[in-house]
Amino acid sequence: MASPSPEHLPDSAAEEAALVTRARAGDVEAFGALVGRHQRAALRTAFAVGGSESEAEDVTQEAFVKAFRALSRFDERRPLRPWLMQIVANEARNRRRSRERRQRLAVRAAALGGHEPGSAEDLALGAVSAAELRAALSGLDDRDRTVIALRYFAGLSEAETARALDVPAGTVKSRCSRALERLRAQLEETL
Amino acid sequence: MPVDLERALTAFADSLEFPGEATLAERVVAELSRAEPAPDHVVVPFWSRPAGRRVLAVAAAAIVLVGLVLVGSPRARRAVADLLGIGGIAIERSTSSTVGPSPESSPAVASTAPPTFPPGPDPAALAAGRPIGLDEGAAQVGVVTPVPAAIGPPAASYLGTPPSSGKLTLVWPPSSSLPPTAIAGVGALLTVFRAEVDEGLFQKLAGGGTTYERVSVDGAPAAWLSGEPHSFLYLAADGSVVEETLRLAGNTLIWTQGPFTYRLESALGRDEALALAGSVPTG
Repeated sequence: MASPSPEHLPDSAAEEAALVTRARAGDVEAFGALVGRHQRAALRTAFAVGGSESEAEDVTQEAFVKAFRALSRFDERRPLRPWLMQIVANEARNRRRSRERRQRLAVRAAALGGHEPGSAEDLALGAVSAAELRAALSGLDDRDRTVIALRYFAGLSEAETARALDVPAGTVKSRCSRALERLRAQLEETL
Repeated sequence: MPVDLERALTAFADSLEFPGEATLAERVVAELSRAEPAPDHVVVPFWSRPAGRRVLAVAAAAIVLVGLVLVGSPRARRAVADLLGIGGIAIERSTSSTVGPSPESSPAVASTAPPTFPPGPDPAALAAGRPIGLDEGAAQVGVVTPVPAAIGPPAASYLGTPPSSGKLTLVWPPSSSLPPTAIAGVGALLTVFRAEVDEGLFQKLAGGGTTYERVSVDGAPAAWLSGEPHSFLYLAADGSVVEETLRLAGNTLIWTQGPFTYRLESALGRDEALALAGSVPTG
């Protein structure tokens, strides 16, 4: 299971609420502090949904800018991270679609012809390599990819994922296990 | 092969590194401070903000991606069909798809007096498009009429798609300087279209039964491919993925000049093909 990242510990909840209040009033620096707390989860979500490391930073930056503008619509009684991740996932999804064909070509090419030597792709993750996971993730549809991104890349709990997706918690559970099944099938096809 | 997927995914996420992570908050603050109204007052369109413009510029620059995929194995063939979104596509080795003369096909009449060209290849089999005058076809594609001085005008020329900007194919029959190829009646095919070659992908994908050699034509990077037939994939300027099957079982020279990619298929050896390519006027 994903462990909570350090910047997301519960005891900082009050501090975070104060930052949100200031940011809503237009305090850009306060918002910057919020970015610092959530950027790790955001970047990884952007990558998992968007499929591109190089694009993830730009997507995340854009998503945070959009989030700042949309802060007035954020319900302060709720946790911030699921709301932010929803925006990040949407941004990544849109960006992905706009260049999906190119992406598919590159990923397939990597799957067919191997990958760049010495890159992080060579990293073995137990029985499966990062390159294989990346290719398999890319073969999933948006819905499966998004739930996996929120659970394992953003490290959201089932309840938080449910909030981010705006669906009941039970739905997240079943959606997630189906997504994992399909990911496994993709992997088996690749191997 | 039971894999703990949840753990593998988390480990993968942890292994990701983003060079700009440390300065992300800084950049967001800078962007928001730059000309930023209070939240929700004005919606600035994505493309008119600096980051948006940068992204669009990158997207515009990255117009073309070319790949070469070998179709030797059924798996690769499936993947290619998959990639093109047309499952069931038959990509045949050209060694086994030799095209005989087609009785009813009368080859296109080129604008200049063509050499005799009976009985002629079937343009459909060459996937070359419709017959067109040489100069007219070149004008449509926007390229200088690419007749290599070494072999003179072609017997026929065709204009086809993809890409949507047009693909000009010139066909020469076998002659004393052009040995016969796997397609009856064809000594050489020269195809010109607007696309760029990404060398990286060539190198990544060449393998199997095809020999890839990096060469150059007039100082421009070129690829010399010999051995098994292969497919040729590229991304056209409009974003569509285009698959081209190299039709001759022999040797292929691919090179770029400006915005154009040239492809010469023949039974010529490397040095002869390079000499021929070097005699193609590029303006």
